Amino acid sequence: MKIKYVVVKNKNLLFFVFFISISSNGLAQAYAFVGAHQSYVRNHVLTNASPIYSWHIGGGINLYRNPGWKKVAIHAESSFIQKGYNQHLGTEKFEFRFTYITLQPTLEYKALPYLCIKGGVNLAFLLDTNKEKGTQTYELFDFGLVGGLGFLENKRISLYTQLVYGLSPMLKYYDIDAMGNFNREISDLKNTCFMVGLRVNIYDKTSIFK
Amino acid sequence: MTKHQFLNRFLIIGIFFTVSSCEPVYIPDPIDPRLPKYTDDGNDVGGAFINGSLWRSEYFLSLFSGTNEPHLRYNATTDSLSINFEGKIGESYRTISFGLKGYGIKSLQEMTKINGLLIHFDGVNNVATLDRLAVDFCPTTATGQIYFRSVKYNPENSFLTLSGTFGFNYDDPVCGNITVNYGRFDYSIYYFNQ
Repeated sequence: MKIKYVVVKNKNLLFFVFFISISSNGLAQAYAFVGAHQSYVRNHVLTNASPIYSWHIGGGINLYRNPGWKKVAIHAESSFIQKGYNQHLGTEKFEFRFTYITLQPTLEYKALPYLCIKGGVNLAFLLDTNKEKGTQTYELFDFGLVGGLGFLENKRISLYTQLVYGLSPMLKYYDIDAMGNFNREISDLKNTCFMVGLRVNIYDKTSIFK
Repeated sequence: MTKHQFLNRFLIIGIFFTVSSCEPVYIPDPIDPRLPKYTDDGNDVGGAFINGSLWRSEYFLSLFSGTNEPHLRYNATTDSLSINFEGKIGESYRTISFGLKGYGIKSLQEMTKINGLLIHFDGVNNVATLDRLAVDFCPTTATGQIYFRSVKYNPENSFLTLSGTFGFNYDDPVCGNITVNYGRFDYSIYYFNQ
């Protein structure tokens, strides 16, 4: 019941952020993007964990609020992304994959004619995992900070790279020792994701970068 | 479609649901996925490491159903309860057994008396052992514990959910040095033998 309440509450927050974004002065750009990433979890409990490599796809709109600040833009992006990690135990390899839908509001600053710097927050909702009842084992909501660079965003096809640094724990579980004592509750496993990809402008009426 | 064909299909679907509804739900432990996650939902799974090798509960499938339900047996003469978890290490069968004396548990409903109890093995009243195909029994002088973290009886459907953890070890000239650790179990139990 508590998890459902948190999800509903955060969905409302997402819609609020999205509504504020689109109700600002005007749409400048709409774009789609696709890319690859390295995903890993920072943790204190896993043995022999290693990163996975996967893909992401999404779209976004580029907005700006103040015509006086032409070097600053606000982005709202949404994407499907697969995060996770591998674990090698004995002779076996275990792969953990988590599919999220994300919403990522960011602030972008045009530092050079061909280079933009952006920063913001990444809000992600767990849709599915490759483990039995994974959505009951792992936290449904994931929150993180994001920072990145965009190259040649004034062109139809551009490049981007970004790092998502998860702040909320994916796992709430027990520390059970070898004899079976429940020592404490643990909150651990934080996503870290390094992404690169291609962005395609599909609507570019009033781009601030022209 | 003839009446016979319809009945046959109905029967096949019925058998399918009977079998599939009894299958264990194996949720991997998020820290060590070789073991089942600790749950108290009656998922019909158990797991442990025996001398570092993985032991997992074994699901026995018959024509109309499947089970890996632990055997609970009460002995009124000695007021003792035995609990047997059957499973395998690789292809070899191993049963992990526990004996508890003096808890006055005579029925499935009364199993809730041990809800939340952490019981240490003393080799006399509370014992743990490991056997292979009930052939060579190892001694019951293990040291360690079993923790019945959640024992709930469902009166509507007359079954028990038995969940907990265990760990023990012993050193014996015949059986050798045995360490059973990171044990956990979560079963739905319908039968109680007296």
